[in-house]
Amino acid sequence: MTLTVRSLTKSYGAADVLRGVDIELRPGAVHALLGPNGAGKSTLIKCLGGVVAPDRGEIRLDGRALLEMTPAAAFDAGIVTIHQHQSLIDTLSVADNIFLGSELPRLRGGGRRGQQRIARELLARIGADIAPETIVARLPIGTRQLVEIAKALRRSALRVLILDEPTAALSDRETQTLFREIAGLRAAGVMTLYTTHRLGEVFRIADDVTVIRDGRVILQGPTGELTPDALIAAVSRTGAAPAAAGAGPAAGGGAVVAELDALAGPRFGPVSLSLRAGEILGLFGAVGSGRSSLMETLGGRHRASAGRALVDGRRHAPRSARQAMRRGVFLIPSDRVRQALCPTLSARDNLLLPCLRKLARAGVRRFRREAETFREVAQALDLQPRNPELPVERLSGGNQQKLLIGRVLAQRRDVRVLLVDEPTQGVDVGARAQIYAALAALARDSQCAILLASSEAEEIVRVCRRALVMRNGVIVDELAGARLTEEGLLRSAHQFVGRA
Amino acid sequence: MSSPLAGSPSQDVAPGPEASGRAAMAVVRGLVVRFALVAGFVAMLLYFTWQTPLFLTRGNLITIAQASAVLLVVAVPMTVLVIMGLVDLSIGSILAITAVSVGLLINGGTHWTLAALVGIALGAAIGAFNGTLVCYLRLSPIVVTLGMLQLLRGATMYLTERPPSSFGEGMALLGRGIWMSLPVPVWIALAVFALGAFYLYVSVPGRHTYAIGTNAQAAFLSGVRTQAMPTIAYAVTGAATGLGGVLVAARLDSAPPATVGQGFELQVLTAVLLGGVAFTGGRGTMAGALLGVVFLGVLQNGLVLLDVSSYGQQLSTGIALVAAAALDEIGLRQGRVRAIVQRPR
Repeated sequence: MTLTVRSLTKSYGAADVLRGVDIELRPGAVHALLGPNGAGKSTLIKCLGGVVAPDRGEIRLDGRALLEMTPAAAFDAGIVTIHQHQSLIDTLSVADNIFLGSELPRLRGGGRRGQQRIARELLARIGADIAPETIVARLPIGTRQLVEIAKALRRSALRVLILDEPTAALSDRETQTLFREIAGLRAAGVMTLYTTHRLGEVFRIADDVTVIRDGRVILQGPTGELTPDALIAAVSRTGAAPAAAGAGPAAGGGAVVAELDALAGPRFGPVSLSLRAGEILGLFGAVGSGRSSLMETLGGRHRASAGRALVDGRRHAPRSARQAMRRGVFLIPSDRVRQALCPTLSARDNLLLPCLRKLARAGVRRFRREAETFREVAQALDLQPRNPELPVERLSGGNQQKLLIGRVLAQRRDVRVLLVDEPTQGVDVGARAQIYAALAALARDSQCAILLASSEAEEIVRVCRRALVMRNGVIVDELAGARLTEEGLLRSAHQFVGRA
Repeated sequence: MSSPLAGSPSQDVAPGPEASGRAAMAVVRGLVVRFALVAGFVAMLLYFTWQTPLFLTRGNLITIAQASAVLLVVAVPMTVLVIMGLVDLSIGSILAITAVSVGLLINGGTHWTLAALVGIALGAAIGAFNGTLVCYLRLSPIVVTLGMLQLLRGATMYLTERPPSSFGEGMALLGRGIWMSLPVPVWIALAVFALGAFYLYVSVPGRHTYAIGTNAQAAFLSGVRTQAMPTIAYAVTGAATGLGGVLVAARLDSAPPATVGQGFELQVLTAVLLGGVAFTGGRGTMAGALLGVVFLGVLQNGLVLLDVSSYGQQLSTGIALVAAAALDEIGLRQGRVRAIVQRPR
């Protein structure tokens, strides 16, 4: 009743991604898989799911070796993988997605009605309050994850559940629901392997932990025998817990750069706030609290419907991101892959996309200046690998995020307001520290104002001296100084929910 | 771009310093696939040279160049459109309506230079209209331009049913004149190509073009003008097609409204796609488009010399296009998802 992985090895071309990994999943136990970006976590998961064939090594389920693995074979053996990038079809309903590829015949309780009934039961089992007839595109990203899990639960043969960063896009409440459900699966003897970057979670949910780095196991053992410090040390590349970034000027320092006066837009408002030069203001709120919408409106993606925004004393109502950037307002959106990157284009093209025109002379590119700028920014952010020609889809999540910060860094003299939305989603501890440091340096050196939206209290507390809490589209609290703690943020964000 | 025929500016990935023999093999295989079109082109040249002494003569090569010139003039902006993830299927009829309008104007007494400028402006206006519908009203590019293909052909027939002809000396010089031992249209086509290559590789909007084709939303949020730029690209395609219409009218010294430019859109698109420009956008080069145009020109010319029927010509053009698409796809897979295709032994 175990899943055993022995000396698993995998190379892509010249790059060795896995160099002999051993893992054992125990029945009814949750196993957390940690490691920095590019450590080989995704490849390991793909090997288990039959998506990628390992070069050497073996995978045994209940002592039986799994050979000739394909996604279908893995599935038949009861290994179900839920991927980071979701596999739902946006235009179909929740029930249709849950039954996609395994529709029930009408005569055996199937048909639209029957499927919706079963889907409702499955969703209820994971505490998700979703109507099965809802079209998936209308659900927030966090909620879609629950549909994926319901889809997996539908397979009666579920023996091994593999979750790739299940909580990265979940709100706090959804995360708790998910954990509850994983606890239920544990009781049913299901083996769970899941990857995460949130260390706090590991101690709440996992029985065992494996940390891999550079394709090798660095740390392995029962959670109870490990300390958070040991985990952080194993995960981070430097081998030590990263120092806090330390940010912002002392309270009251810096002139007001931007001011919102009862600004309202799609799914938020009215919101009033002021941003000061050199400060990193936190904006704490769950997924769906309206914080992304506020950021996107300031960044020029949506139009405000009421109220006004001032940047450097002038009215700021951009009709496009281009106009916003001209005024010095830059947005780094939360959904890297969909909203910010051109995946098949090179790292250099992606990094320089917003500032090509500034580097050029009369619209004619100056290649040497471009190369210099790339080198300089890549060095400042420790971009890995530092190959300007590499398609950005081959970079790890952390490096993709660094590259987006690099876009702003490349034109830091022109930045007045930087809007960063969830800068560390799917980013490992080491890269996080570098991103926080880069943001702090940017605020200090360019004397710009940074508005950092996040659903992770730990992040806000670490980076900001002052934070606003957003809920249902409005700001419900402001925390600073001694009041700015993780508990304080969480309490404020949920005080209107009752018992979250 | 040291190798102008590389599939895309971002596709080449140098192997890491620890490149093993295995990686080197993969690179060699990739090169074979990537340059298959060039290899096929060279093989075709050798075959035609061996089969008929008429092929490799100065006169015949100039004939090929002359026949390909108009195709290249329009293939250049079409490449930009396709890289943006768009397409213009109406160019055959834009070519017809501009050629016929220019002819009518000249027959009506307008000076040929002014008539030619009016033709180009007309093409640009139609292109801008297409672009506005596609980019600002967000209509499907295929639907809009397919409709325009029909609409403009009908409008051309309304203008006149009798082909205007006999455009005088100026037009004869433009269409059939020789300058520095090459036909004038060939020089014009080369100039357009140079402009296109400069745009795509050296100018800032050239980079933006790829960004739009790869991820329009990300491009918008990065400050790229994702509506204005494609609209301008449509207008430029229209203008280039107008120029093409002028050149065709000049060469034929006539502009038959029912047949001129018939099927031109498919020829241009075939050449562009043959040259490795991805129909899904985001990938392609100007040099590739040039190769596609020349490939088509040589293929058709050689088959005519060999007395192959027009059916045979269509057949081989189709085979060439599908084969090129297949090779392109295989090349992509080797680079990207090789791991998924490979099964354990």
